[in-house]
Amino acid sequence: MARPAHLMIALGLFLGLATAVSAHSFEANGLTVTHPWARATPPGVPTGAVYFVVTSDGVEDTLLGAASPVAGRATLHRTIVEDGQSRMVPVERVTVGPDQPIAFKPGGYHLMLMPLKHTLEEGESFPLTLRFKKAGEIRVEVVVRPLTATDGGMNHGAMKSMDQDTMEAMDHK
Amino acid sequence: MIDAVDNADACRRHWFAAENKPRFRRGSRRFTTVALMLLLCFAVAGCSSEQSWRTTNITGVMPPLEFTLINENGKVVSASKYVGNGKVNIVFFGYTYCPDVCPTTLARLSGVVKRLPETVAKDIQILFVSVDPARDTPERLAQYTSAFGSRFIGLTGTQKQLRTLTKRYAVTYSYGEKDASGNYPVSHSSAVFVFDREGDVRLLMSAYGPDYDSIEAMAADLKQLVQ
Repeated sequence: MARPAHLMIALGLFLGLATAVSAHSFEANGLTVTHPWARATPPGVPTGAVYFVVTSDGVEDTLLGAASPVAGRATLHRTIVEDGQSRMVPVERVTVGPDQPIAFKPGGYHLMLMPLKHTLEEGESFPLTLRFKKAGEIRVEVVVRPLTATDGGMNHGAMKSMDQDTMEAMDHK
Repeated sequence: MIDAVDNADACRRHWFAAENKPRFRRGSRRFTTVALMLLLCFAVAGCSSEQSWRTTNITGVMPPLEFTLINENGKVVSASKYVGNGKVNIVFFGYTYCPDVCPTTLARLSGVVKRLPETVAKDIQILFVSVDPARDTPERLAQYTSAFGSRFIGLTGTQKQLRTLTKRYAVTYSYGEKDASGNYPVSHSSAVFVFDREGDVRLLMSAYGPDYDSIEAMAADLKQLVQ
């Protein structure tokens, strides 16, 4: 009578997969990278941006860099708005801790892809490797959202409050 | 409508009167303070009774829309081409190589337009002015803006034309250092300027940054301005 066990395993796998897909998160060495996404790019534009949230379940770590096969370079940047003037500054490292999540989002930190090897098309996904000081490399899949996306698209239902709280808690001053 | 215009004029007068406070003599300071407070009360009451805005009302604070630029076909154009058709113009300065600020702002503006009924949306056009003419050719601009929709229009210009326009609206732009492959970031204004059908400046919106205006707020104000 192995069938029920198989069913349970299948169900477990299905649920596990379903959870992984809906939450779209990647865990490794105490760090969780949630919902990495990029906005589709207009034709001919060689730059793209990736956004995501990193949380830690205990250890403090530092994001040092990133790489993706879709672009020549993936660099950490922050946009600063002062007196209505915006400028982009390169960032060497970003610290993540149990009380200090990292939120890369429009209007703050972003990972700049440049030059893009091809236009980022809505609906596709591509690999990205984030390099941390302690946790090492974490490979994630970045989902490409529509060109007109203004956020990660997780702002519905239960995700809304969680996502927004994470975002707001994070706003590194 | 005439009332609204009179009211806006009145607001402007009160505003400038309040701004003039250093001119008053020292001896009559108490009287001046009381007078100014009364004036401000009237100004606030007067401004809010007719129209209330959720984004920043800058009516009369800046000059009407005027420029000479280059359009997506490489032709020299003046603002009258865009004001003359009776549309509400939204002006934003940026560049197509911009990975975060510009696409985020244009995406939010696209969200605003989508939220509006077609009867309102058809009277709105978004002028995306590239301050990076060295890389943003008219062809590239055309490709870029059309990706965001038919209401988005790309413009650029010579450095002189761009300096004249940015100076007119008290914003600036500058170029960062080139990297190994010759690319550079551009510092630019994150402000969104809104001009009414007559080309007069009306609202300052922020679609980006820590205190950005919500899509709902921008849509509500544009609807009020169009109708």
